[in-house]
Amino acid sequence: MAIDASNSSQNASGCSRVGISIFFSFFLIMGLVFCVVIGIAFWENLETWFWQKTPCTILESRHSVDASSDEPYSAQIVYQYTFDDLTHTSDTITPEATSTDNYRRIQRLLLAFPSGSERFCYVNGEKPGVAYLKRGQLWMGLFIFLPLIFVAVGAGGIIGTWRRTPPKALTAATKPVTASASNGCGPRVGLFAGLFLTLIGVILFYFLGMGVVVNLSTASGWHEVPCRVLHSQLLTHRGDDSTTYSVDIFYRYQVGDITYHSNSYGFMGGSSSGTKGKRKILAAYPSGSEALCYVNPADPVEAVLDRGFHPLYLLSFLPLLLVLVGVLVLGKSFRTATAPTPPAFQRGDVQAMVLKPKQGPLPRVAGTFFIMAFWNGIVSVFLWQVIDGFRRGDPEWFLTIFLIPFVLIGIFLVGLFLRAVLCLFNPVPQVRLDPGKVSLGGTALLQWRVRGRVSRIARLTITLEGHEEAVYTVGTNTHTDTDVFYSQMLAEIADWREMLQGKCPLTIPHDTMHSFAAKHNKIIWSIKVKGDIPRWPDVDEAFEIEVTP
Amino acid sequence: MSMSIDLRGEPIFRPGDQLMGAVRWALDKDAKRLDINLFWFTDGKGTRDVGVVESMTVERPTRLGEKSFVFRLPAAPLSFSGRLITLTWAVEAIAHGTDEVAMAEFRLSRDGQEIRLRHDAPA
Repeated sequence: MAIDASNSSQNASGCSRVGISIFFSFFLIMGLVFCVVIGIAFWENLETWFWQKTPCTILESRHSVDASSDEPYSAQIVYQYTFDDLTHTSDTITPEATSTDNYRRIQRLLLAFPSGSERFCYVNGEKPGVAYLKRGQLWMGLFIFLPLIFVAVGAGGIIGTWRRTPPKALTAATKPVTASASNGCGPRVGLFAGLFLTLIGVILFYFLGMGVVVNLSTASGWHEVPCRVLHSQLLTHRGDDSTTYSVDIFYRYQVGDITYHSNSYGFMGGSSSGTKGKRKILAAYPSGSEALCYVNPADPVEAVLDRGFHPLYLLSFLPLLLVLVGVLVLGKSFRTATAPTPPAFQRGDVQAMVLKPKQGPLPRVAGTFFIMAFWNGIVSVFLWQVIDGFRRGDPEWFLTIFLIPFVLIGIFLVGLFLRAVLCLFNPVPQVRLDPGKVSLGGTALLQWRVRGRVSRIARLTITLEGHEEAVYTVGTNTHTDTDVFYSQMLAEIADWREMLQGKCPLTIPHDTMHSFAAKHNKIIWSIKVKGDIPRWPDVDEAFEIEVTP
Repeated sequence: MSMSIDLRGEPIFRPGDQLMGAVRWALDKDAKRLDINLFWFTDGKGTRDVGVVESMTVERPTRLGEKSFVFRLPAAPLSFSGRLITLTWAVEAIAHGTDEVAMAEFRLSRDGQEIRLRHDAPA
């Protein structure tokens, strides 16, 4: 069998494979480490669900504040319970640490376990001295999917690196060619990956973004309540390679007969570099001062000092990026999985048909707008931070330099969108072919009509073109190569009156290839209509035609 | 241990022709089944596409045997060769449960000539 083995050059050398494997090993190992950490924590929490539910009495319930810590708030709840006729006293609340920089969690614990109340605790039957008031949370196990992405990338990369297609001559000799005849696992992997990304995006959005979105949408209905600032400080969070800061204003307010505490300034927590803006906020709420806070009437534990919108809140939508990517992958994989095999060709004439352009002007505008808005929407959040930094006289130089290429791409996308919008006002060509399908060596009548301000077109050309299109994968990247094997000018018109409409015969050579569309390899025939418009985006439309054997 | 495919006549056929031939095998162990596939495949720059058009199966073939086949060839796709893509037709025999595979290529052409995509654009 004489099968071309030229693709063997695509195979990576042993050395480069080792290098790539080391690169992907980093992802794999980091993912596995985090999977183990999350898995152990999940298992420990799961165990508490099998502990014995036992009545207990809350002896003491209060909060404590350690202003020197970056997680200054903790709950002190002491309770007593009897197990196997022995009385035990404990102050462990949950398997998770209860120190936090967000007081809301402490407030909910104190309301759930007030002093003197009778409640239940969960006792370890094997060690009765160990008990929790609340069992470990299981939803955190879902976070194992995050490091699993790294595991999948790492493992997939390594497998992909070493499972490159061997030289085809060898393939033919040892392995049936038809083994790859089905759609294979590609679409299935795509469907799984799309579903996985969508799920992760939804989970992350639920936990990280949904609260901000809901609170923002209901903020106007929150009640204005007087509050007293108990302390006001800048919290310092020291990381491995950077230090970030957050505002910590601890205040007290009353709703009905109940006194609440909170340290929420806005709807979004977190910390960042830069202190000027934060010090300005702290100066407005000094310790001991009276202020107004906004309380959620449906849940008075939720209160903020500032209920306005801040551009940083847009970060809450970031998980939706994953959802978007997931849905796009799902859609593409679904289309691939359900794509029909190349249709059987019918000989004989088909009635005349008006050809559809490959991509109309409106979808092009919608597509470029979507990409532009998506990209610039995200970049604008960071750009705003940069501008704000300059405005405050405290520029963030690293972010500024880092952002330059992203802004340039954003400007380029705006240009693409504007170009697509301008093309909306271009004259629109329509093409009709009679018969609608042309056989090899056959002739059809091509008719065209151009609507709109045709007089703007300086030169109109109509070309019959045939090209090969091959999709291939190198590493993890997919490339598409095209090669024009036939091009024939059918009409070239300089007088706009002749552009309005016209017709010409179109003949497909008999010794060429008919239209062919497999998954990765295609032969595409098309009519290309190009109109040069001075100082304006040109008319450039392609109409695919079907050439039968 | 061997397997071979013999096509009757020259390996050049027209759409609608009958493709006749025989598979002969001598296996050193029992095969679960033997598939004979009529198919096309692509070669070249793109990832390989394969289209199986028709198949026939011999269940639990004997270790030494022969099976003749007749396939009616479809109208398309025709065999061709371009800068990026080459499309080839073939008959393949696979003895499942063994490593034996045999393949015989042929050309599907309207006039017997292989289609070579020209890259010299007409004036």
